[in-house]
Amino acid sequence: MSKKEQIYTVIRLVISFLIAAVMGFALVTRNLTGAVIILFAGLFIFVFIKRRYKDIVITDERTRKISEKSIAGAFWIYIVCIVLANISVIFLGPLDLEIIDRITPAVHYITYTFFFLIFLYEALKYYYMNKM
Amino acid sequence: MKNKLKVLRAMHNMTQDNLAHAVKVTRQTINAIENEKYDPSLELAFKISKLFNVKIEDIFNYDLKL
Repeated sequence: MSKKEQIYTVIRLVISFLIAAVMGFALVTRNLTGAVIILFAGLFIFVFIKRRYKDIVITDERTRKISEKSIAGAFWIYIVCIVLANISVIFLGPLDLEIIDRITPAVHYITYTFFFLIFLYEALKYYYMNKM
Repeated sequence: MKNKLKVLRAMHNMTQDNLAHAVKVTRQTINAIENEKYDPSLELAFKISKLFNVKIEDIFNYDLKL
């Protein structure tokens, strides 16, 4: 990695960390306007830095392929976790444990997000099938 | 996929960094191709072949068994 790439990487990391910290603070203190302003300011800074270091190649076809594989892996791991969580709730439900009553709503919410994710996946698949 | 990228690069006295810069990919991608861990896209293969002024099949050798 060249000196310029190292500087660019460090700047990106520092700015990401600062934006995340300040945004987190704004959200915790329920200052939503502040959070939105910080988000856009952060995006603006990123665009500015990207233009300044535009000759540096950060992403290419290999990194995009790695990203695709990681997303696919994360997707399937998420699905397996949800299935296991539901199986646990179904089988441990009759035992009438307090912990099961507490985690059941959370498992249901996560399951709803799973169905939403599947819907998004199928919709995007249909879109790209027609486009490519 | 087997390739002669390392040899060609050495013949042209280029570093991985130089080649990566010339074809607009990261140095890690060039390294992965040379170590046969990653197969380049057709576009990247064409870019590399054009840069070294050789045919694609002179760089990349895919043993297709039909």
